[in-house]
Amino acid sequence: MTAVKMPQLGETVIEGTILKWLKQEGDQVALDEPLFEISTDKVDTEVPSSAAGTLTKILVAEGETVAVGTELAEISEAGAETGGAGAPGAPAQLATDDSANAQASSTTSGGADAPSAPASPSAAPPAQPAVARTEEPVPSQMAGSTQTVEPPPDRGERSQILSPLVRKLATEHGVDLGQVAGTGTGGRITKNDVLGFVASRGDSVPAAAGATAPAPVTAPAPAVAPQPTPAVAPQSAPAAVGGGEEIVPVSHIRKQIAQHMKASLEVSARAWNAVEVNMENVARLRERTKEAFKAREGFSLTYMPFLTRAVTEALLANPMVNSELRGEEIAVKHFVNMGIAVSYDEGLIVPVLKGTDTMNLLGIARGINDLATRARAKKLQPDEVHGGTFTITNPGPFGSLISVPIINQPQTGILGFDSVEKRPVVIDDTIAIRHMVYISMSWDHRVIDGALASQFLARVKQNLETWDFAEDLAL
Amino acid sequence: MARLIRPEGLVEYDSANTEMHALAERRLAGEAEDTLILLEHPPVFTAGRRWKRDHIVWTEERIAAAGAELRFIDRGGSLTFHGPGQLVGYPVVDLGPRPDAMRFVRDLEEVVIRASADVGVELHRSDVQTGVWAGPSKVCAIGVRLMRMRISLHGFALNCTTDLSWYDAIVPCGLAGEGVASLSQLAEREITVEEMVPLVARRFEEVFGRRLEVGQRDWPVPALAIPAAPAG
Repeated sequence: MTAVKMPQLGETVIEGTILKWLKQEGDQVALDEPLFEISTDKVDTEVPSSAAGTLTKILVAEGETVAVGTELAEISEAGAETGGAGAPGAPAQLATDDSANAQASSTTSGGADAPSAPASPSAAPPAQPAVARTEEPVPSQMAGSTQTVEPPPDRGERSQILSPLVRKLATEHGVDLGQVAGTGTGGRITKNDVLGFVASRGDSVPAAAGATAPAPVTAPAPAVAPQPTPAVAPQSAPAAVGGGEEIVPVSHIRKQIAQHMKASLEVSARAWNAVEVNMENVARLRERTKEAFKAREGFSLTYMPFLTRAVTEALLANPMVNSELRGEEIAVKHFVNMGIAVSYDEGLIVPVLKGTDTMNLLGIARGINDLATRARAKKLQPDEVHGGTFTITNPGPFGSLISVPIINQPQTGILGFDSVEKRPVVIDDTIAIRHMVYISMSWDHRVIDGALASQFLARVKQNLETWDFAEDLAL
Repeated sequence: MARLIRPEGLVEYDSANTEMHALAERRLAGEAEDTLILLEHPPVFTAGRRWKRDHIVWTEERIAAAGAELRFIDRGGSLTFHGPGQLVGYPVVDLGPRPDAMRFVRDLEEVVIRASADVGVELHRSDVQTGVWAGPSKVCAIGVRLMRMRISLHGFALNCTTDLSWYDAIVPCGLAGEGVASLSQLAEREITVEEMVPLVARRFEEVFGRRLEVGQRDWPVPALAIPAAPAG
């Protein structure tokens, strides 16, 4: 049984009016088939069904206005094939998981695949927990589960950054966070760490977790997180561990990244070069418009949209860089779907901003912000991590000066954008201080040669140094 | 690639409405691009889903005798008028699986506000009513429908040189006591649809962060090649 709820058509929308039921009680409905029409202020919309089955009950009549989230009808799934243990928890999850709940079931199930889908990573190096933790105090004893071999250590300051969700989960389950080992970036405690801890001590996780977060049954997170295997004796018990070494299971996403990277190196003839770019104009524009942009758009303007815009144009001008080798043929793309590497607490994912060649700076900025936000919230749809024609990785925020990424197959190039920092540079035979950055590209020598790669990078450089981006921002 | 379609002349309402829906179906199927259609209609009154009988002041006979049509359509909002001298914009845009419909409407208002500022006319939003206003008078009406909760239909109607006496026939948007105005009236000079088209297109690019390419590719020209005779 699926509850059909009043969808939210925007953050400020609190209610909606049922204009018309397109199905009557007893009718069969297919997934995504228009089920009813609603009206909110000046916008009417058809709402597609979030489930397939029989419309068993209509709870709100035509013409009535009800609050967002109000239960409108019930659909009984044909054959109840989706039943079982997960079913009772599902409706509650729809409400919290996605405001546009009519889409929620597809979103939720789609989301389950997204982070684990080919996470076509690049070489952007988010701090890997395994590396980070080797520096931590040596475990004196083992926790009673397989996924976390770290004992409650004396946690330093950096691990005290806790997300509201983690705090809430900890409170709900009565977890002392000092007892939980963090596997997130820099040893941070993630939601899965808490859930894993709870599972390992034998609580029933799903009920409480479902109310606040995607339940493990359908949630994307566990698919990529260390799998909690509660109440099972450690099979490969880390018996002989000692001397500062610990054994950490390889997560699903880690395995995918590993395979994808190794396969890329095996198939491609990777070559690399770099240019140094004067970012002074862009840096000044950012500085000048920073506050107004944040106030209007609700997020900060980073270097990435400028870079993406400049790279997009350079790809259109040098389409062989934006191509794919297919056996005896090369598919040259005259459009740009930009893969943008996003690091998050469990690894790396490359959402794809489609059609950057149709967008101006503002559109690109909004698109990147949306994808990155949802990538970190693990709410990407499967099709949002596929179809890239080129990739950008941006290890700059982590302090990297120059990077040599691995090509995201089957693409031909991947561009690395590192730290923008003030450096002394020679301009007209005088020494000046400017915001500078190294922009590098790993490229496949099977498809293109150094001359083209250099031309392409020179074009990116020229675009960033000479374009007037201000007009696009309209600030 | 987002596309700008700009049919010449006056486009008969029914054919434009049919083609807009067909385009939205193709957009939903991934066979067409996001598109902004900018056009003018011959005189026509359209009643959205929230219309009420007493919002129509004239009889249907009188409307017909004056040379206008009356159509009952599927957009949000109540009654409005379209006619010569009014720039009508139909954005057929994929708002994605989690549409923020209110944001979309606010963005359309922003496009009109900025484009009007370009010709020196200061317009504003209303706290209570969708649309773009000059004081208590509405200059641009907005009504939208989403196909399958993601593709936008219908849009905005900006009075440039519109003969405002047409509005006597209705209670615009169902709001008694509110007036209507046109850009020309406010600027005290003639501001034509032709003058506004490039400004609206430019501001649409800016607000929506999209670049528009002019072309008729997703618009079957024959359906629109028959401009109705300008009335009055």
